[in-house]
Amino acid sequence: MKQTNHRLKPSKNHCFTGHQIVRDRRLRFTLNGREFKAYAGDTILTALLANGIFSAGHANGGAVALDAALQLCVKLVDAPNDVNSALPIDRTLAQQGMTLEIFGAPHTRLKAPFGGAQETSLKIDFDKFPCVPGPLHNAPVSVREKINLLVVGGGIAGMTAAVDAAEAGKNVILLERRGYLGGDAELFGHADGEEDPREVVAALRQKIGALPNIAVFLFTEALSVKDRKLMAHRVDSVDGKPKASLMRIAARNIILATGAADKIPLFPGNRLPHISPLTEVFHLATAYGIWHDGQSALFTNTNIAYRFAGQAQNADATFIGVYDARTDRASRFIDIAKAGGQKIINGARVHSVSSSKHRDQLYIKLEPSHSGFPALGAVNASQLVVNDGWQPRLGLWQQAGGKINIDGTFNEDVMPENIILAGSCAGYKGHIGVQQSALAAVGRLFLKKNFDVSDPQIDPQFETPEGPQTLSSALKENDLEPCYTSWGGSLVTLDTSTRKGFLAKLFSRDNEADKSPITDRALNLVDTLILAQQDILPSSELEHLLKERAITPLVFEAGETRFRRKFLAENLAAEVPDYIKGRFGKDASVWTCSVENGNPLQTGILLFPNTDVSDPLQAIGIVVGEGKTALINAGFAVSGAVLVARVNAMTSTIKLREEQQRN
Amino acid sequence: MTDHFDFAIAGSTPLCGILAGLLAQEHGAKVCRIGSFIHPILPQRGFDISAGPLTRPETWQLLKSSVPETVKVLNTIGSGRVYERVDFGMVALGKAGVQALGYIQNAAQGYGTQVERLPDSQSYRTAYAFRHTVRTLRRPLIAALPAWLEARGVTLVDPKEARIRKAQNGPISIQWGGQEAEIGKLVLAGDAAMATHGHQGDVQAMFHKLPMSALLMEPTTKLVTPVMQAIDAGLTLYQRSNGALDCAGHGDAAEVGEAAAAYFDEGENLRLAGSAVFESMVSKDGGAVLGVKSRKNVIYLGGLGLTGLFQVPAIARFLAGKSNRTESDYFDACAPGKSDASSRMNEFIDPRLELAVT
Repeated sequence: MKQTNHRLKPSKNHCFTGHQIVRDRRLRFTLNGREFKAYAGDTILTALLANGIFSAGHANGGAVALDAALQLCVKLVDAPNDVNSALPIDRTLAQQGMTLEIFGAPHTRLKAPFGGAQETSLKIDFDKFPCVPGPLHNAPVSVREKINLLVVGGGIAGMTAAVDAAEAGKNVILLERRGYLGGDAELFGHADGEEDPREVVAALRQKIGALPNIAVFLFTEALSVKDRKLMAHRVDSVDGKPKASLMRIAARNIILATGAADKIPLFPGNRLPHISPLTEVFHLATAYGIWHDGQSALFTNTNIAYRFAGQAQNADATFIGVYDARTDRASRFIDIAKAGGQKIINGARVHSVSSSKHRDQLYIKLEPSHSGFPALGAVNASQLVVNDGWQPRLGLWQQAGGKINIDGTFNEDVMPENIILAGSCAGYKGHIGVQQSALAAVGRLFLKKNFDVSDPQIDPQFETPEGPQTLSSALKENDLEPCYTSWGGSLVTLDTSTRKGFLAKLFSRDNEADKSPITDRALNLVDTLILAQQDILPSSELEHLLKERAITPLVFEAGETRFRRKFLAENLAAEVPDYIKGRFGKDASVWTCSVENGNPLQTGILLFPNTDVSDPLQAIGIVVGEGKTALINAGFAVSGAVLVARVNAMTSTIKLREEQQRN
Repeated sequence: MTDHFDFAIAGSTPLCGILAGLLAQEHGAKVCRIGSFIHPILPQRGFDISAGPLTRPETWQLLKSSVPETVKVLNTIGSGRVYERVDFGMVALGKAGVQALGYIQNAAQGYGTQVERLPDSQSYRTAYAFRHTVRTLRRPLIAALPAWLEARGVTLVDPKEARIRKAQNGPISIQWGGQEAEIGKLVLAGDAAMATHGHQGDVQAMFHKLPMSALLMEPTTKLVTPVMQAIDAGLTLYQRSNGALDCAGHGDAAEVGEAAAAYFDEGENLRLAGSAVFESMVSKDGGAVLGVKSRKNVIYLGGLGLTGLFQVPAIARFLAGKSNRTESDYFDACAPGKSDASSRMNEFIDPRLELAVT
C-alpha cells in the first residue's frame, strides 16, 4: 500500500483519492500548542487524523476514538471564550496559520513530535468536561430564513428532492453537514440496471449548480426542529477566518433525507481509538485519502463491507481478515473479495477489544457468533473497521413529533404535518427507491398526492440481508473496556459498573436505589433505543423515553444570568404581602416599632401579648417590611404598647411607636 | 368482583397511592386507585418533602403531627427505605422572596422545626436550612407501592383501560378490564387527574393552568443542601448522591433551566439530560384545595405543593369524616369557593407566577 502519514497516495486503481483535498497546497495550523500539517480542503478533524491523532481522550475509564460523532469543538485562541466561538472540528476547514485550542476543556498541551513518543491523543477528560454539541444550541441566532421547502441531507435523496422542487418553481434550502454533496451512495455501488451513483451524483450536482432557487449550505448541521422551525449550525469562512453561525429556518415544508448511520456493534471496547464505523472510514478515505498505517481487520454482518474490502484491495490495503457474524451468506461482493485473496471468516463476531501491548495496536478477541462454530482466538491489528448494519437517522423526525419503533424504524401511524422522510432514513435501500422516495416526498408535499415507490432489491438468495445487531457475550464480564451504545457524543455505556472496583460498589451511596449511572446522562435516540432493546431502560416506556430523555443536551450557563439580572431588577416587596393581609383581623394596622431589649427584629417574627403565650396561632402581630414595622391586631394596637417577639426560645420586647397605614 | 368503591383515587403520584392505602386500611373503605406512576427514569414531576415555602402557621401545625405519622406509614412500604432525612434549603434571590423567607422560617420555628441561616453566596441573597426534613425516595417508593396497595385490598386500575362515567347529577361508575363498579366519591388527586376528569368550569374557577417543566441535569457541583427550594423562582432542585440534579418549576424547559443555573456560581454550568413539559394547576390563592365544587361526589385535591404527601394521614381522616377539630378547620379552609379573606388559604406565591397569571 502506498501511503504516507495515514494518507493514501492517489491512484487510478482505487477510489480513495481524497477528492476534497488539494495536495499541492500544504498548510500548517496549531492546536493546543502543537503544529499540524494539512492540505487545503482538510477539516481540522481530517488533519488531526492524518497526523496520527486517533484518540480524543478518555471517558468511563477507557480511551475514546477521535471521530466526527463526538462533535468536538475548537476555537481560535484569540476568540472570546463563549459559544459563538465554538467551531466543530469536522465542519471547520483547516487554514494556514490558525492557532486553535479545544473548546470547553482545559488547555492540555500536546507534546511536540520530537524528543519523545508521538502524541496520539487530545487527552480530553470527558468525565469532567463533556465537550459535546449542546453548547452550539446556546449560540444566539444570527441568521433567520423563511423558505417553502427545506431539505436536510445532501445525499442522493436530498439532492433529488431539492432539484425536483426547484424545477417546479419552489424555493429550496438544502443543508448538508459535510463539505460536499453526494452522501454515501458511492459506498453502496449499484446493481445491474441501476445507474452508477457517481454519475447520478454528478448530474444532480450540476443541476443544483444551475438552479438559482436552491440555496445550498455545506458544513451545516441541523440541530433541532420544532413546529417546522429548524435550528442549524453552520461554519463558513469570512475574511479568511472560520465563522460559526446559528441559523433559524422557518419552513413551510421539510424533507428529512438524513440517511442512515452505522449501527454500533455491542462489545467492550467498541469506541477505542483505531476502531471506526465503515461508512466513516469510506468517507475519510474517498474524500480525504485517510487510511491507517499498518494492518486492519474488518468486522461485519452486511455485504457492503465486502464491496469495501474489494475497493481496499485495489488500494493494496487487504484486511488481515473479514469477520462476518452471519453464517450462510451470499453476495457478489463476497465472491469478488475472495477472488482478490481476502481472508474471510464467517460465524465470527468480536468478543472484546483492548489496547495491545504493542503501541497503537488493538487486541481483538473473537468468538463464534453461533453455537457449533469453532473458537477463534484473537488478532492484533492497527485498525478495526466495523459494520453492523445501518440505523436510519431519525433524531429530527422524532423531535418533530414522529413516532419511532423499538427497532429504530419510523412508525407511519404518526406523521408530523408537512414533514416527510425520504431516502434511506425512510427505509429505502437501492438508488431507485431512494430517488423515487424523494420524488414522492415532493409530490406529497406540493401536490398532496401519494405516489408509489419502487425499491427493487436483489433476491436474498443471492444477496443475504444484513444480520441483526451483534451483541458480545463479554457484556456480562467485568473489568473490560466500556461498551458504548452509540457512536454519538453522549458517551453512554451499557454498563459502566464494570469499571468500578469492589470497594467503589460497596460504598456507593445511591439513595435512589438505582445502580445505573446511565440514568443521569443525556441520551440520544440511538442510546435510548439500544438501552430499551436490552431492557436496561423499560421498553414499555419507549414513547416517553424518546420524548423526555432522548433530548438535545442544552447547556445552561451558571452565574450572572439574564434570569438573575432581570429578576433582581424587577422584584419588589410590598410592606404587607397578600399572604399576610387579613391574618390578624381586617382592622389590623401597621406600626413602627423599636426593640426595648433583645435581638434586632427580622421580617416574619411573630408578636405575642405577653411571655405566657407562645402558640403561633395565638400571635397578635407580625414584623413586616424590613424589620422596623409590624402588622398588629386592632385589639393590641396602641402607641406605647409593649409586645413580646419570640424566635425559638429567645424573646425580645418591642414597643409600638406610631401607626403607619390601615391594612 | 367489586361492584362498588367507596373511593376512587385518580392520580399518578405516590400521594395518591398512600391515600388510597390509608383509606382502605385505616378507615375500612373499599378503594380503587386509577393511575400509573411516572417511571423514575423520566424527569421527576414533583417531590415529596416535609417542609415547604409555607407562610401559614396552621400548615406547620398540621405538619407537626402529620409528618411523624406519615413516616410511620412509609416505614411499612417496601423495605422501609423509601425516605431519608435531609437538610432542606430554601433560598431567595429577590426582595419578595427574602421577605417571604422571613415569614416561612419563623412560622416553621414556631412549631419546632430547626432552622438555621446559611452563609450568603453569590448565587442567592438569603438562604435557610430546614434541618432533618423528610423526603421520599421516589424510585424505591414507586417500586414498592403496588404490592403495598394490593396487600391492603386496594384495586389497581390502569388508566389506559379505565372509563369513568358521571351521570348528570347522579352516580359515578367506572369500567375497566371487563369489570364495572359504582364509585361513592371520586377523588381527583393532582393536576393531571383534575385536568382529565374534572369539570372544566370547576377547574377554571379554582386554578390557573400554567406550563411546568421537570428537568434532569447531568451531575454537577454540590448544592448547599441536597434539596433546595428557590422560593421566588418557584423552583425545586433535588440533587442525587452522584450530583445529578432534578429540577421542577413553572415555564418551559429553557426558562426553568436558566432559572436553575442562576443558583450556581459562574463556571458551574448545567447540562440537560431529560426534559418533560406538562400542565400544572396553581390554586388562585396559592393554598391547598380540598373539596367538592359542582358535584358532591367529585372531590378535588390539589395545590398541596411539596408537603402534600406528608399531609395524607390527615387528608384520609378528613375524607373518611374522622378528622379532629384542628384538621377539620384546616381542611374546611381549603374548600373550593371560599371567599372570606381571613379563612382563605393564602400562601406565598412566587412573584413570577403572579406575573404569569395576572
